[in-house]
Amino acid sequence: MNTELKKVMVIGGGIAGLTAAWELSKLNVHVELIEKDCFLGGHAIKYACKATDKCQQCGACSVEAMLKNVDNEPLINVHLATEIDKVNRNGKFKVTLKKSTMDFSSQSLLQGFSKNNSPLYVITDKDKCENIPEGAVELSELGSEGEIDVDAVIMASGFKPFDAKIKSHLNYENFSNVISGIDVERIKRENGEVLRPSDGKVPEKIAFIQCVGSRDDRLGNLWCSKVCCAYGLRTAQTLKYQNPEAEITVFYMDIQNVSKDYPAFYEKCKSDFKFVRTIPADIYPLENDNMLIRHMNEDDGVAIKEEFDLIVLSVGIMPGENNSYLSETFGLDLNESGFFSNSNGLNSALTSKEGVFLAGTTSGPSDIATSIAQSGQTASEVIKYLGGA
Amino acid sequence: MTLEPVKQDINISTDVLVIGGGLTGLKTADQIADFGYNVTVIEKNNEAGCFFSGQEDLNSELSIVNKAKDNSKIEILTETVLVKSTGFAGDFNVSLSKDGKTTEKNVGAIVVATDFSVEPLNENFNVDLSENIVTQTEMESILSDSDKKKSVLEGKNKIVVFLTSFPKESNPLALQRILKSSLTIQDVEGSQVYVMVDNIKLASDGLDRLYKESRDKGVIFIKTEDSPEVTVNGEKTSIKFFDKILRSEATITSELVVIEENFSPDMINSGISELLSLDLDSGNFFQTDNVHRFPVKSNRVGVFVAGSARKIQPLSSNYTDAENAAIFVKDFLGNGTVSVSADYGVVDPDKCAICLTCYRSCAHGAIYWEGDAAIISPIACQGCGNCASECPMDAIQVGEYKDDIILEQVNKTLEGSEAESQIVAFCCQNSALEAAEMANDLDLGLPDNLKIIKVPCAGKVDVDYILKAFVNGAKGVMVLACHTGNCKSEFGNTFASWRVNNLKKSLDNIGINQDRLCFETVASNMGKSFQKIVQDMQDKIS
Repeated sequence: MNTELKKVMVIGGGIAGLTAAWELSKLNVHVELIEKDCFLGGHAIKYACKATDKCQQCGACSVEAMLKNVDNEPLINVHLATEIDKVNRNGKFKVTLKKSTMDFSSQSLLQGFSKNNSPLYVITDKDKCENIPEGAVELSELGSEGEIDVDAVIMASGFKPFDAKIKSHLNYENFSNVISGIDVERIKRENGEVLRPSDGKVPEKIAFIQCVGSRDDRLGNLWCSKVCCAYGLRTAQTLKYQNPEAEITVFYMDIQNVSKDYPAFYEKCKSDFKFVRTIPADIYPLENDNMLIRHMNEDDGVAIKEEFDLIVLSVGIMPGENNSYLSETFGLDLNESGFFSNSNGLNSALTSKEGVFLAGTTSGPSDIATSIAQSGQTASEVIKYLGGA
Repeated sequence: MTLEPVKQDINISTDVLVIGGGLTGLKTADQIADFGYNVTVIEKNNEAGCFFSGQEDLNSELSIVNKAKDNSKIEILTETVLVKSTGFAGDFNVSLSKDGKTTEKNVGAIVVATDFSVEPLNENFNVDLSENIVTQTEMESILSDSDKKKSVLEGKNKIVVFLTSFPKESNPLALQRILKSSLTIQDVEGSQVYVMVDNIKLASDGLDRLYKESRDKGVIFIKTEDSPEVTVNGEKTSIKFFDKILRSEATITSELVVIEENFSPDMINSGISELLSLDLDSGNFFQTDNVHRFPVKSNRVGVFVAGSARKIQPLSSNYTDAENAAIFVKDFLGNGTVSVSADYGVVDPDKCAICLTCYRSCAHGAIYWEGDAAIISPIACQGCGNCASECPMDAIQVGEYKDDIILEQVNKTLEGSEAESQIVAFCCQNSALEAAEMANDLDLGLPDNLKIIKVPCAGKVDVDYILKAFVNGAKGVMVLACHTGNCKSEFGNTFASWRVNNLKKSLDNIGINQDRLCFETVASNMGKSFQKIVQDMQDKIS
């Protein structure tokens, strides 16, 4: 059958949505790509390369490549700063779009990583904006409204990083040198290396605290975020590479497998870092913007205090903040963790509603490579549904 | 034949070969057949659709097997192996052997979906398997048979110990099996389950919840980094370990020990890798650890790898692979015509001495030879140009990156009186060029004397180009590549670094300070790193 005139809406312009859109467009399907933010690429486009003297397979560069694919694809119609208002199902889907309700007011000028067709800069407040870069677009110019008819919908609305403020004892809000895994990515991208926020110095004694927000019974977060061991250890390797003198301690519960060459990678980590099997309860400030972590020495059970000049909190993957709204709008179920549930345990793309599919972290934590794979599967299911099989 | 690569449409075969008739192979075949292509599945064993019992949801597995077996577009050949393959994407000639009898087929695409094998790890603990020391698979068969379960567990008040992750790190698939068995055993009155483990591999959907459920039901998890000492005393087995909470040695006496199994790559992987020129990773699974290959691409066009052929992963992920492989096959085969752009390599048969240097330096298996010259397949060639740089006869030219074009670019770049202050940077289009654009867009301050020359891969940077730049007066020359393990052509970056390092050694001899030449790696999304690398070079030579 001919799928040439079929149209699919992809909700979310992160790596999952981009991949699904791109795979569908390659098979001659029109795509309406909806992104509530001002830029495409989601969280992953903000991630830094984690290569040392060799690539550590973090996949950050593949997001940029996919964004470029989508930017250059005429079959994909991008709606930035746009959200779903309502949906009518009458055979097809009649989706009403509205301008994004996200709060963009924290900065007068937003900078995104999008290229080519998409704006790189968005002005939210012209009066406060001192230097307006060439090609900048005003927020008011973005955002689509009105109705679009589509044959199928892909939910690729993504995740929310755990807000480290919630675990107040870690003092993320209070100490400038306690940073999250997301902050590390930003700092690395801006500087080409990781520097500590308080004084821009190369950190020498660094702690990584794993499972921040994940595997946390008290918060009801009974899931492993799957990505934090990977990004935590890879980032630690880049720190060790940029400063071989750096002393790095990893506080952890269980280390998960990272990439295909895991055994060799983990052995290297064990020889380069100190692993302490406990999640510290408290972090105390010191005068030089350093911090003290108290934990139990595993050998003799005595409490020890250790000083660090940078602490990285490996925050986990939480359900997307619009999950309940989107699930209600489309009549989908969320699972007990708050992610979208797939109707078939062996197929992450399928939902209980015909014509509505899932991709990427909507259905649970996954890394970049897995999100790309799942989106390919989703595209395949959509093609079958559209009768292209 | 023409020496000029041309944009053209090439007719190809749309039949597909799937190697491996396990669940992933059959699922892949079924999906591809549903897209309208004929599929041949070869399975080395005497039955296709046999699957590993340790995985869930038998009904859905059976339905996949039956659906594939009933599909009229799928031909399943059992006890059949691949013995020979020639040709390229769109036109593979494969020889399939059954009982010594060989049949030939022409296929457009190949999916490798080999299985894994399962071995018990009892030798790691120096114990033999017995009634009291069983494998995970045996445990599962006991639990799935109510009579066996009754006779082994009920009224016996047994202490059952699972040993996992010693000495080798385990995986979520193994943990899922242990948790499921533990829950069932713990439910039998009087039974107590211990799981001895180093790192619990929970990175799979639903496992942390299952882990909590097990603990809530009374399963005891003992975390210890060192392998426990297992000693058999008649029907009992004692397991000695260092208890981290008590900080002393402790011993559990168990009536039933369950030994973990290792998932190993299929024995036939090495053979297939050789026949199809496919890369394996360090663990003998297909596909190198390279983000550009994920999810199911191989180093060769038209050959895809799915499921446990490339990685041990949960069944749902194998199915994800199967659907990806199918969609990649559909994308490649289309309606039987492949459009080739004009950026592939062409060998000049008059210059070619068939030394086969090109054949050896091609990561994509795109080169063969016929008569007096090597030939490059326009479909299989990825245009990286590594072969062109390696060819001792300069017999290979690649699309828009012909030697004379690049040399002319070097000339133009260094025209005029300022040549002596210029830095020429040969930038791989996949990494350094992108990073340079980003540095430029973000105004990170690239020096004015930096002159960028785009190359399809650092592997395309011929020693001649570098020398030409120096001869024309360049102050410095940089070859900027993707990081090791991130090259789309697998080792174009490595070849480039070899060339630079070799050349550096001889530069001193001809009176050029070797610091004026460098090889660096940079990622496409790291504009700031690009700026730093250039600045370092600038500082070094000024």
